[in-house]
Amino acid sequence: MKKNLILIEDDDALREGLALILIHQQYQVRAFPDNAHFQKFKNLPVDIYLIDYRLPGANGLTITQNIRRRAAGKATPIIILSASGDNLPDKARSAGANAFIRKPFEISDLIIQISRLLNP
Amino acid sequence: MDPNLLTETLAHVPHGIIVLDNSGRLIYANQKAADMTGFKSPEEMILNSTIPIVSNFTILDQAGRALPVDKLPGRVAIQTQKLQSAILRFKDPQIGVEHWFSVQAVPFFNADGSFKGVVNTFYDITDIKKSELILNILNQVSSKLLATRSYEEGLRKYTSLVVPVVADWCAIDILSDDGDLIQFAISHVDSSKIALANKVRAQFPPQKNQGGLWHVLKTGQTEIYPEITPEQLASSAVNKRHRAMLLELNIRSVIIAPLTVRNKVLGLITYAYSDSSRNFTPRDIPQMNAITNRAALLLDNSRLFNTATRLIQTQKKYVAEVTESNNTLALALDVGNMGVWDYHIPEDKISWTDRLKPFYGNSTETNSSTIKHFLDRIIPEDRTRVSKKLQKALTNTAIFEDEYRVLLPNKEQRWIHKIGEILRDNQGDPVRVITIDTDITERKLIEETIRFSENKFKSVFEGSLDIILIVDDHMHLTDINPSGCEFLHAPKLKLLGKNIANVISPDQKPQFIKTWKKLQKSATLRGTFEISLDGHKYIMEYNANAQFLPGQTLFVLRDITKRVEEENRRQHLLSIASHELRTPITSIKVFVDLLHTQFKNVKDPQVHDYLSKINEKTITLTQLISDLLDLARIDEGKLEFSWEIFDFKDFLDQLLSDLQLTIKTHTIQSSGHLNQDIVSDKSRLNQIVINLVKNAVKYSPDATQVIIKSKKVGDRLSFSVQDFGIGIPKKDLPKIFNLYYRVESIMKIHGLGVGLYITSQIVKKMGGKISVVSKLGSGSTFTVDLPLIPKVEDKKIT
Repeated sequence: MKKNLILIEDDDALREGLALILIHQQYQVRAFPDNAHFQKFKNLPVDIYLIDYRLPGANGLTITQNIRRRAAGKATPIIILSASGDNLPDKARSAGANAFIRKPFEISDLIIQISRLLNP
Repeated sequence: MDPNLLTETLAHVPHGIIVLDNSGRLIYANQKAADMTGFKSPEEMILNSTIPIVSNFTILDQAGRALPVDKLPGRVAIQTQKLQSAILRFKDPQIGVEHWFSVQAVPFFNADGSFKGVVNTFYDITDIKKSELILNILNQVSSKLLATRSYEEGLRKYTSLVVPVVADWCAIDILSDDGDLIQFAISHVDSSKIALANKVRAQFPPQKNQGGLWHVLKTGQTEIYPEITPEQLASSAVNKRHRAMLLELNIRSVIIAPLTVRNKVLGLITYAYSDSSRNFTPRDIPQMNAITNRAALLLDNSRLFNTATRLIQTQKKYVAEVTESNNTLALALDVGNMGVWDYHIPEDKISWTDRLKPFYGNSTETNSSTIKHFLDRIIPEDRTRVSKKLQKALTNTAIFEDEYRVLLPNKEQRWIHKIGEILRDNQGDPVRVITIDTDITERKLIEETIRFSENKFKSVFEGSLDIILIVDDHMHLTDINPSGCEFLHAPKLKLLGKNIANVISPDQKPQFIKTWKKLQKSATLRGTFEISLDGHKYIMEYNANAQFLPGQTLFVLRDITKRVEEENRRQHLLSIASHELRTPITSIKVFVDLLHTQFKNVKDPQVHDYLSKINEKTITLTQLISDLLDLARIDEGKLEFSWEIFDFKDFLDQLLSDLQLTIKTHTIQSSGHLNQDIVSDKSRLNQIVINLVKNAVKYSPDATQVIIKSKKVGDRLSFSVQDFGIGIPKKDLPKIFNLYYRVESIMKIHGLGVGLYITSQIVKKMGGKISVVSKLGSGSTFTVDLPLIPKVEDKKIT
């Protein structure tokens, strides 16, 4: 059974590239450029979230908090991606994220991290 | 003789006659005798007692001692059958009045010579005695009492002499400086009446310029009220109570005599009879005046004495003061480096006291010269001025004052202050100038030093670009420099006296006051505070000294708002820059990875090689960006940590296993099973370990291992990274952690040379230490030592 992965990233090239990589890794990927678009499909089944911090509109942490508020989203693993460091890992954790990955990351590292969170 | 005639005669004899039989029984008494002894009639007297007299009176001898009954002349005569005479005083025990009697007891005999009885005659000599006593008083007052220095004492003694002899009571009033009559002394036969008399006086004081007392004062004439009836007494009363008291006092006869001293009435003496049956008559007035005048003399004498004593004392004091003053002057002149300078103008002669010799004297021993010589001693720069000033003063002023320098024979210069008077003759022409000259050289030097020092301060104060404020203990501004006025957009005058908290941070007074209190406690304080003025926010850096001057605090302020803003902007820019650079690099990596996948099936090894290289360079680029940002932060002291508690072993194991995944050439060995909680910044610790391990790998290309050891040492944690590579030359060891430091070696190592620098800075900022031991050719071991709990001010521990 393919795992469902939701990706929210506003950089078009990056979003498309990442999505492709993750599809190759046998994930069922749904990618959105921002929260507004994601909201239209928020009731889809999801096994793991990959959310960029800096987004137009609601940022990655806010989206994380919203997900956590919903019953269905309480246990779903969330990874926050961001180019900025300082304090973000803490904030991410406080918001409810499971992991924080700094950009740029080794693709392999990302894959491993995703895998770890799905198979604890 | 006809017995009736005898009886009639005896009845009218003005002396008391009694006859006692030979056993002492009273067999006859005449009317006078009965009167004297307080009986209504001789019959009553004979009937009443054997010693009737004793029952009604206290009997005293001349001296006033109680006379025992058996010593009565009559008794003694019976005993001795010889003539007895004595002077006795009969005192009425109830009203205290005394009568003096001359008593004669004459025994008489029968024809056969047997003793029949005694005839007692009593002569009332009270009046005679009175005169005698008055004379006595006069003498006593003259001799003894005049010797009394205190007239108060004398006057009191006087009243006690007067009563009961001359009067039943005697009161002396003295006129005070304010014109009030003050009762000075009072004596009364019946001492219980004294209290009453005082009460009456106190409650009903004699009205000024009314009544008998004041009349005598005014006229200076003695007045007599020979018989005062109870009605008259009552009518002089102010009210019922007064009347009752006056009646009780029972004043019957009064003489008021003035106390006159050299034609000035100083007071009065009041003599009165109250309960006794005696009266004053006009005949008594001369006598009363006589003794009153003696009392006045007493008063005068002692006052004279007092005045004389006072005068002498004043004189003595004056003389002492002048002497003291002279001594003080001489001392003052000497101690104060002063002397007296005396210029006789007509004779053109100047003289001076010894002290001034060094300044004005020449080779001769005399302390004198001429005006020219004097001026010659003054240095050329001051000479003309002093000369002119003196000439001007001589024409019209009384005081001359100036300061000038004199040249001593030893070429030394001294400052002299001269001040004195110009004395003139009747025409107003100046004849003499006398001055006090003081050597003020030391003072001048000090003044100059102070002035110089003040000028220094002044120039710094006025010219400083920073804001300088001086504030008193109550936080009021006492001075502000131009930069301060500029900053506050207000002139100095408007700002002085204002409370500095209101001026500097009107919107943040409590914070400012807190800073102020801290400053007062610690004497000096540096720091920054935020202020808002006219809606603008400023950040001020300050340096304050609460002990600048007694009661004055100095503030030096610098507006660092722009600098802080710039720094923030730069930080922000760097952040954004590093941010923005990372994102495209992420994309590059993503597409390199995609390409890898795309060319998965392509056998051409070079494709993958190229792609790997590209990826490697993205890693380098990323590291560069991180390093640059770190450098900037370190440079501005803005390296910040977010602290956490975590287990070091777990952390290290995870990190090393992740690292190992990317390092294929070496095995990373970890030893030391240190399950130890540490408070640290995970990501920074990460950075340190990665930097050291990657360096270890880089600088040991021919080795296969990197060994990590960790252990706990007291309250610190220590871990080391050992490589078996090329090592570091000894000369480079001390500089290895410096910025941009590259070790010259046969290997071409790329990079900025900032990795170790950044690592060491992070370690230092964490409160840790980093060190290295190395041997050329064998390898290097880098050791990091960190506190388990860092001592920093703001800890954010999650």
